[in-house]
Amino acid sequence: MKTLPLRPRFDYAPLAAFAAALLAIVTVFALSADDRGAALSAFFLKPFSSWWYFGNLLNLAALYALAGLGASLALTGGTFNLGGEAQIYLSALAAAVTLNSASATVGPASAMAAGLAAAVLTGALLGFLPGLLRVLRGTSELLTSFLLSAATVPAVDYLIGGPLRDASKNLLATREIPEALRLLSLAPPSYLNVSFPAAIALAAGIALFLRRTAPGYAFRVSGSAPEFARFAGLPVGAVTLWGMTAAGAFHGAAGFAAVAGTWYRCHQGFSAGMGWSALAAALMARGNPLAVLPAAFLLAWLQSASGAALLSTRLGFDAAALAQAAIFLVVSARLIRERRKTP
Amino acid sequence: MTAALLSMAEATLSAAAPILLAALGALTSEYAGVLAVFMDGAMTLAGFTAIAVTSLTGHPLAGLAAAAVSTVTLMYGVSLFTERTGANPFLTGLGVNFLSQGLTSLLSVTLFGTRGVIPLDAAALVLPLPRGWPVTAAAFLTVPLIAFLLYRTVPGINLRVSGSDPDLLESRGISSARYRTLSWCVAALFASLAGSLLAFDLGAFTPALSAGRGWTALAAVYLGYRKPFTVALAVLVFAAANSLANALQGSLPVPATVLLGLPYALALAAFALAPQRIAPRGEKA
Repeated sequence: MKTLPLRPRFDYAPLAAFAAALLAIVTVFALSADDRGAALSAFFLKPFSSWWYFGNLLNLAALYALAGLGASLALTGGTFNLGGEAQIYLSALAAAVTLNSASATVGPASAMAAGLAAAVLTGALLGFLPGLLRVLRGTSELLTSFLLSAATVPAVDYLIGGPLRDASKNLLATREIPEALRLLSLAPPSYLNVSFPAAIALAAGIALFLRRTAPGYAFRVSGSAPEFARFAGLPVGAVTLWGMTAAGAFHGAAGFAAVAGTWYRCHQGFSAGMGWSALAAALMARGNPLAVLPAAFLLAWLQSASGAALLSTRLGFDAAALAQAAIFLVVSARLIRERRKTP
Repeated sequence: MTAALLSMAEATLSAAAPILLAALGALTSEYAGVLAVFMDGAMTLAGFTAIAVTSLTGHPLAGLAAAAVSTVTLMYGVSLFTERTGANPFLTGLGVNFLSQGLTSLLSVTLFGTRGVIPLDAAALVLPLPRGWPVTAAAFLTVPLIAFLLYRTVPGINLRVSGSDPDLLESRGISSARYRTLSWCVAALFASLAGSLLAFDLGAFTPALSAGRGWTALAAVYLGYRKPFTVALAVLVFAAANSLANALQGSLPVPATVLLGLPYALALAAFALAPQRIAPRGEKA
């Protein structure tokens, strides 16, 4: 007998994934910290205890959201971008080098435009290549984007620690960018800057693109029903290629914001885990660009809170990896069976 | 010159052994339609368990057994969760890699007070560590064994059919999901052997022990046309390329840091050149 859904199913998995990550982290701190009270208090209260902490939390959320919007766009078009780590890292390096070299020859506005363009194009190229392999040879972009990223990160490490290092400082980092080339700060002394409202505007722009434009329709149909999209003559291959390229470009923008708005130089290993957090935000958002914003905020809070708790305990383990484990394990699960009735 | 070549060949075979074990595990799960993206993390976790238990008991075999039991149990749980909830196996596999990274760092800090290298005290061992050419030879002997099991036994044939034609299996009253779960467990067993072998060879656990070998193994499965003997050949090609790069490290104009990306670059080249369309959306199971 035919059955019909009683009502549209609410997707609990993103919330369950976040709850699992939160539970995993809190349990670990509760069991392993010598001073549990201090660890848990730092975890829950510290990120909201001052403008410094809260502004930095919002800034981290903006970085996750910028990259997560790209990952979300790729997911909507039916592709997985797993190369986010290197797309952010190499783009940030490209931004730092371009900003420093352009500052000597052109004005601040042109130098910043050049830095942004260098970062976005670098990220886009790293997304484009796996997309091209997918279209031309049918090679899984999941694997190629991940492997390209994993092969690129050590090379960036080398460049930052070697030829592009600022030898005058005791840091494994590039030269600091000039003050005139930094993104406008919104809540000093925190690093919160204009990339935060920019991420909100971009999320709204992508939502409009997907819902109100013909290419946006092609993106949505190619992702959700590729066979139908092919039958209907929609450019599925182009969506794959553009989806991956756009994902890389947005990660590149996050790399630019990290350098021009947050750290003002490219540190070795600064982006470790950021690409995965961006993907986690996109997966939690389930293809809705506006939902990437709260997902990015929750993940940034988890990251900041874990950092604050780790500082108070001096345990120094990789809490972010445990949170990501919980999210990736749970986020795609169908946790609730559909409620049905028999008519 | 001959001595140098012989020494390089020995180093290549020894380096190939753990990758080969991982590749055979990945091949088994690939037949059942499960892309073993968890291989890298499972190897690191198993290597940690092997060193931790060996260090606590003094018995390397206890370490090996603990690594095998814990890795298979973990992956059995993850496979059941993946099957029952319809979760994307690629994402749950990635989750295992993160779990390995987080768990090994947490346990390293809480049990050994360090996030760095955990060396074994050779003097405290009851038995010598299983390593050297007998272990390498045993690893290579698993190739015909796996070929026999997968091609000449009923469970092996069922496992292969569970990936290529699950409906056929179901029509004969055999659960394809059960064979997919079995394939996760077999892959986990091989991951535990590979991880333990890596750790015992080093005589220590190092963070990110597998260093991309799990991904290399996955690439070898495709470069080797998904057949046990050609997969072994592909592993040898990867291992030889790595050995050559290591041997030439001083004379090559490539810095050592950049060479850390070599296993991934080789795997990327293999996937890009692999003749067949593979893992369309990572949702094969």
